[in-house]
Amino acid sequence: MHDKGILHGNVVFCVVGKEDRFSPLVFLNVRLGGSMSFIVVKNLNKTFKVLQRDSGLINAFKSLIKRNYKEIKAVDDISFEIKKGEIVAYIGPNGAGKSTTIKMLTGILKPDSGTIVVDKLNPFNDRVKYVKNIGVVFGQKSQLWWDIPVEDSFLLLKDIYKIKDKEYQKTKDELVELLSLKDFLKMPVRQLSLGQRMRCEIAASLLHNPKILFLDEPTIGLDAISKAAVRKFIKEINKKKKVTIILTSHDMNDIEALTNRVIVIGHGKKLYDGTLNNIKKKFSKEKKVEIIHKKLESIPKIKDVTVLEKNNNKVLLNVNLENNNISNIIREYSKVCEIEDVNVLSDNIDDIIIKLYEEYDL
Amino acid sequence: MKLFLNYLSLHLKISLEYKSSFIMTIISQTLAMFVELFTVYALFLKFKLLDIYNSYELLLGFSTLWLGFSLIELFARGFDHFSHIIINGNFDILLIRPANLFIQICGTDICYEKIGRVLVSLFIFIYSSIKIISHFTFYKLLLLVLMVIGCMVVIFSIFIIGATICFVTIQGLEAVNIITNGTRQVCQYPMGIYKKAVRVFFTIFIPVTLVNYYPIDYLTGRTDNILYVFMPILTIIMFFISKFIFNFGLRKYCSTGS
Repeated sequence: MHDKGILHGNVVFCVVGKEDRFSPLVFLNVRLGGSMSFIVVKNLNKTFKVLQRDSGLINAFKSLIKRNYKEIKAVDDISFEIKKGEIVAYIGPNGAGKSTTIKMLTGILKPDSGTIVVDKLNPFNDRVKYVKNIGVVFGQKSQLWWDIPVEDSFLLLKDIYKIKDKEYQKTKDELVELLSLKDFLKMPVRQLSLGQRMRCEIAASLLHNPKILFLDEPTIGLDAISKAAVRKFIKEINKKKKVTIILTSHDMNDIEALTNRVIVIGHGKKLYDGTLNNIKKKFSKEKKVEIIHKKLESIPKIKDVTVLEKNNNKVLLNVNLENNNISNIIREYSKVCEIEDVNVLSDNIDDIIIKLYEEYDL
Repeated sequence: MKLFLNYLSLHLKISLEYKSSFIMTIISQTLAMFVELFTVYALFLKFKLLDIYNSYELLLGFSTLWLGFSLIELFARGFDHFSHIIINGNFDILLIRPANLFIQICGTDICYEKIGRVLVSLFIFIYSSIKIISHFTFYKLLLLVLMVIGCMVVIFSIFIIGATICFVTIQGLEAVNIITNGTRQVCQYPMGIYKKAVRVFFTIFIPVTLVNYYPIDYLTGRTDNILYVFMPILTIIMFFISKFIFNFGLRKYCSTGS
């Protein structure tokens, strides 16, 4: 992402340079504009008081008299920056503080301490002004009205955001087209399937052309086809309209398909901020290799390779990639047998995340 | 305001979607209203309070309160059900919208079933004021309108304060019901029958007397003091206080669920 920014700056510099010979000021402006962060979060904290009570009726009465509160740091000193047009995945196990952060970023909750600046605004204090520029999809909460046709909910949003008729019509047509909502726009929400509803929810959150889109578990409970459709759309909207997207999800395929930058949090703390590939490299040092063979006489002994399974015509190996590589193994095996096929099984992204969580003891 | 009208029409659509249940509820609510009216009347007959108070004065005080109450229940039911809005997490959805929060909360539930109560109380209100007022003047008409509006303001403020409590407790408190329904129960009788302390309470803390007790003296002609006409306007103070408390409570809001 950063490389791209520099490149972009240079290209513009060249174009300007043609007309203006040399203008360091313009260059500087472009560079600053390109790399200045859109969302800046600094030392964010939020603590909740949680009532502690043992189970059982007697304890319930006891807690009426004496209440034990436990303070839980939902968000503990988190800082990060996000550039305009980025897609960032915000991941962590249940209860890690993802939703709390999203709620503070959307102006719903007031941070205990720390600052959030988004596009020069403070989400909580300037809430009404701020929320005009954001769209939010909560996977578990509906913003559509259950009993009335989807289009009526859209019209209500048009009034809430004070969208002009022409603009509304244009955006709506565009979204209906992209998300293929045409067939059920006139149906009451209660008759829609979950996938259809989620597409409508996303459309509803984009009617006012927001600069930032927050997606809190947008694919929860969706089938494979709907998931793919939602992912494709999110990518498209990011490309076309340069919408900055922050999403949380437990579905690692979502994250792999949509974004490269990942922020991992656990127990309220930021654990990792960087590319998904780096996590993969770090936590996927081992690969499984399946060799389908003919006439294998004896299994060759190779360092850092363990045999997991052995069949008549198949061997499953676990290979540590630090001191070994795949081609070496194939070479060794081809000496002793006829290889028919080789499958290299990469670690599933879910497995990698489990390893990541385990390492941080979540 | 346009937004509120939009909410009104949306809820009308929803109510009409479930037609038979809608009509049944209106009928039952209206009947319940009559039962209440008869109870008050029977009580008064029993204790012969009607000797002191003209029965139409009684009806006017009673219907003002009921009219204000049912109008607020019709338009601002969302505040009454505020704990549900918080528990469902729907309040989060309201907060991410740039529109006025109060209008949005009101818009979550507009209870057209209360229309029967509104019409019955309006009928009693008009009927009893015609009987009380010997000749209509501009100020008397103005006062009648202000009484209803003032009453709505008071009840609305109580609803707002009740909703604010939900920010802290999440679960709605039954205590709030004591204030709302309690006020209605106590204040539907003329304040004159209570001890002075009660009257002071309902003037200063919950200023119901300003809308259904003192102004009636002006309507009947017991006093000519023009200040009585503008008395209901003072209820706006309570509204601003409750609005302030609500905004303060908002800072304490911790959302529910993920």
